[in-house]
Amino acid sequence: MKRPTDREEEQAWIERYALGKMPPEEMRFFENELVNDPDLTHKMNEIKTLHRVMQEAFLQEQALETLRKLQSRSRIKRRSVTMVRYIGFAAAACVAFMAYLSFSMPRFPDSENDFTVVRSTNKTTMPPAQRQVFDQFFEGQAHIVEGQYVMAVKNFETVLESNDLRPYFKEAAQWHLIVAYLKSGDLSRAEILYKRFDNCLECEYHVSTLNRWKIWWQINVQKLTS
Amino acid sequence: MKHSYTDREIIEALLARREREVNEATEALYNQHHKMITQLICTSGGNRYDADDVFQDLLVAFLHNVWSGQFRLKENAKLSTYLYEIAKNLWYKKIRSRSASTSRELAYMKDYEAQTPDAPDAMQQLIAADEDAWSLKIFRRLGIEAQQLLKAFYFEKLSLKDIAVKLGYPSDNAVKMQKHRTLRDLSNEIRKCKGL
Repeated sequence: MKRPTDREEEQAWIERYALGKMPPEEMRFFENELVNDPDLTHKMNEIKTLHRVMQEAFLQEQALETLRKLQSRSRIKRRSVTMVRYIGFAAAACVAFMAYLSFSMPRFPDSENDFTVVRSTNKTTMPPAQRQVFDQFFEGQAHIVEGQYVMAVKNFETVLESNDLRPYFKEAAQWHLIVAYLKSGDLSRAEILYKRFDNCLECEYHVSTLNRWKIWWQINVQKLTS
Repeated sequence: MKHSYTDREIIEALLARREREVNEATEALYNQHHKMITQLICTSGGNRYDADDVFQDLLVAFLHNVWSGQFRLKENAKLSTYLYEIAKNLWYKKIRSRSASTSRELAYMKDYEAQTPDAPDAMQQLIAADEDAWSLKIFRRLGIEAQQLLKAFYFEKLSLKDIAVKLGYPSDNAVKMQKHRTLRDLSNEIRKCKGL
């Protein structure tokens, strides 16, 4: 049996011994060489160190790979939980907003600040027709607050029968009448009157967008459920 | 995989030095300790991404310490305490190396230095020297192709012929020659590291 002279061959030869891949006869020869050649012992130790370092590096790399997968999974999970929370919050906010639109009463601007226009500064000089319109309007408002919507409809219809109403006051009465129709179940009239105010650019009585939404929403919800 | 590993089981799995066991121990280490490490980093000026980076370094350092015999599980000693200390050191080292630190990071550095007077520099030198001895760091000093070749031959146990096809060498003899050169380079890198 001969010892390899080529460096590559020698390295492979030592490796075979270090990895236990040598047949018994060759192993005995190798061990005999080890005893006689300290340089071979050194080379073998070096190869053993090489193998240890490589094995550790491979395992560390594998472990890091496993760790990165776990971290990525954990990040995805965390993101999903956050997203579910956001969606849940958004859904709850939507439901709350829809409930608000469905059940809260539309609020209109106060009409009291036009007292001087509708009502004469001196009560005794106010014409009876004008006084009647004024009284009907505020009576209608009171009926809405009390939940007597049919009465409120009558009040506002009476107000709107008057020919010389100021536009601002007329629009206020119409908006109130929409609510009165809506609450008394007269959806078609409520809708027709509501549509008059759709995209109204020259309106004087300004109802906020939120309150317009409330009316629009309640008309449509009632249409769907009835 | 088991749901919960004891500290001893984790160490034994790592000492087996087999892929499956090491991966399972890694999973156990992560599942059982990542919240603690994340909390440490997040309360010391870092964020979750920093915590992930620190955990990766912590894992390699811990594997190195277990395999080199620097870490031995003692009676009544908790693995979590040991990991916590390494993570603290690694995080300290990381924020020290940053060119710009946030006020929270600076506060952590002050606290750390106050807790271990005169130690930070010595500790950092120790970690830095140790880090150079991590097998993975030594291995990564080789070029990518060299790493792939050794991995294919020694880890995936592919034949020289298969490696030639996989990595685009003209023949299996060329693979053999390259493997010999690469091992020599790796040997030189190892020699540069003291204590190996």
